[in-house]
Amino acid sequence: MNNSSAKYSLTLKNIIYSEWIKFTSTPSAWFTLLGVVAAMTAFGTVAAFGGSIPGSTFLSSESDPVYRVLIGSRGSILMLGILGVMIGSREYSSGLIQTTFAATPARLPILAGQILAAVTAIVPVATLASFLAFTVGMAAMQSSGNPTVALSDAGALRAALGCAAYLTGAGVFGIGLGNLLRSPISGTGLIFGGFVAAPGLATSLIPSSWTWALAYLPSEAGASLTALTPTSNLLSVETGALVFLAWVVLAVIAGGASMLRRDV
Amino acid sequence: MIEVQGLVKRYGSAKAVDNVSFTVKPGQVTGFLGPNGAGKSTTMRLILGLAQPDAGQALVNGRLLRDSAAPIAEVGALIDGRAFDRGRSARAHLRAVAATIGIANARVDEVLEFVGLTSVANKNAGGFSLGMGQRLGIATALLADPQIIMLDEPINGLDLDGIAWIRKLLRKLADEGRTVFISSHLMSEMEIIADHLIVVGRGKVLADTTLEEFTASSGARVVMVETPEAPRLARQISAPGVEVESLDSTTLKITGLSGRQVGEAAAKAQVTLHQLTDQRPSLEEAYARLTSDAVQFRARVA
Repeated sequence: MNNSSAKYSLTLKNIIYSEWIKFTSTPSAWFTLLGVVAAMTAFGTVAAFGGSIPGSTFLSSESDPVYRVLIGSRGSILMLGILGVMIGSREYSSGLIQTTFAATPARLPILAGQILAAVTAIVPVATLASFLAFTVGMAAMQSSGNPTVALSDAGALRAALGCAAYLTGAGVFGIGLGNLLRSPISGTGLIFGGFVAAPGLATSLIPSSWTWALAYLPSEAGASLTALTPTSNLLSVETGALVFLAWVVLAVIAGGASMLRRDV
Repeated sequence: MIEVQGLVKRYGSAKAVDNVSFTVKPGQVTGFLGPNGAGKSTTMRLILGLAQPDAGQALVNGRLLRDSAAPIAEVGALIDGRAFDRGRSARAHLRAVAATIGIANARVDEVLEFVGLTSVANKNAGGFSLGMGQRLGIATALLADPQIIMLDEPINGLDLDGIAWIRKLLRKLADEGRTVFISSHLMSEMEIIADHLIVVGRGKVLADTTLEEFTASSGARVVMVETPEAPRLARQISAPGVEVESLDSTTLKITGLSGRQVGEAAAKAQVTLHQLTDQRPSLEEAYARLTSDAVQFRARVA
């Protein structure tokens, strides 16, 4: 017997580190994180000036100043959701998943590793982006004569952190979905459809008596987290948080079940 | 040691692997030979636990791979020489695989050097040629210095240097007492590499034998002799079971004797020989005969 199998061992810690190496050695992951910071700040600033910039009325009628400056989260969950889908699905399309599963036959620790590696990278970036958008956005609000809120005001800190959680959750949701669908194209399509097309299009497609249901979509439920006081077409902060969490957990469970049950 | 016991894998109503049993022993190179679609890759994927069998099991060193404390130190496998993530370097790919069981980065550089990829280690592995990809896949398989090496079509895409290299490598690994299991659909590849052959077709094992036995069983051997004294030699070797055909005045085609026997008979009778050729039957022909009923995808000429 050789001693190599005694020298080495497959542990959860090792698997998480392996997924961290994969995350950090994927250039597109870093570009996405950079894009999130840029989108959060840029959209927040434009929304804050909205109404005072000639020709731009972007969100100028929004009465919640916090929701307004954190509006970049709408584009950011799209980017992070797609990043998650790529993390979860790309190995199935490249075939690398066979090497990965042969190295970790239990499979589920890989999902844990993907999530933990992504969360480790996303949380600081999402937090930074939320606070940056808040700070820059509020400064822009003030200079354009709009009402402002300080981070120390009731609910403001909660909304900024909630925004970071919303962004992080979108990434984790994507990882679950990616492992479920195993295809970057259909995963990206579903993220785009679910986060953008469905809430937008459905308002004109479904009867108005049913529009309340749209608030339960993941992108809308999570959006409640970014508001001081969510508007009537969003869920309350607590309900929104629970519904959003339920979507994320559901996606992860579905992804994990697919990982365990299906051949590669 | 790999033990495959009664493996069955269905895809819809078709059986990709149909009650397959065999043992791959250490210390030799075992070739897994069969036409495309014969079930070779599926069997290898079942051994690795990548697919679940409908019946039977595959044991690696006496247990299922998923019960191993360090799976890649148990079996080093190459399944697809193109399966690398776009954008990730060869070095990062190996480091990620190595990390799962705590293999140091120094070992990664060692295997990169060993397969000759050091100069492109930081290049995107997704952009590698098939030959380079095969080398990276072999590097991945060798990372943890495993006792069992299982490679699916490793020669695919390699150039002549690469083939010579892998042949030497597999021989060395087998001589070290490791279990070496490689698949191919080409008899010519197996002929130069394998000691033992497991031939499959349509999901079934058609032959499980040494290369020599496979050769011997594949048809009568023929000896060609060129001699100015052809009639005398013909008389000398004539015996029951020996067939001598005179092709021209100086050439004999002999069936039923080995080249050595003919040569010794000639020496004894002091017959001058100008040429003696022991023509082994073509293994390619033997393989084609064995698998002719089992070829799944045959091109039809209209």
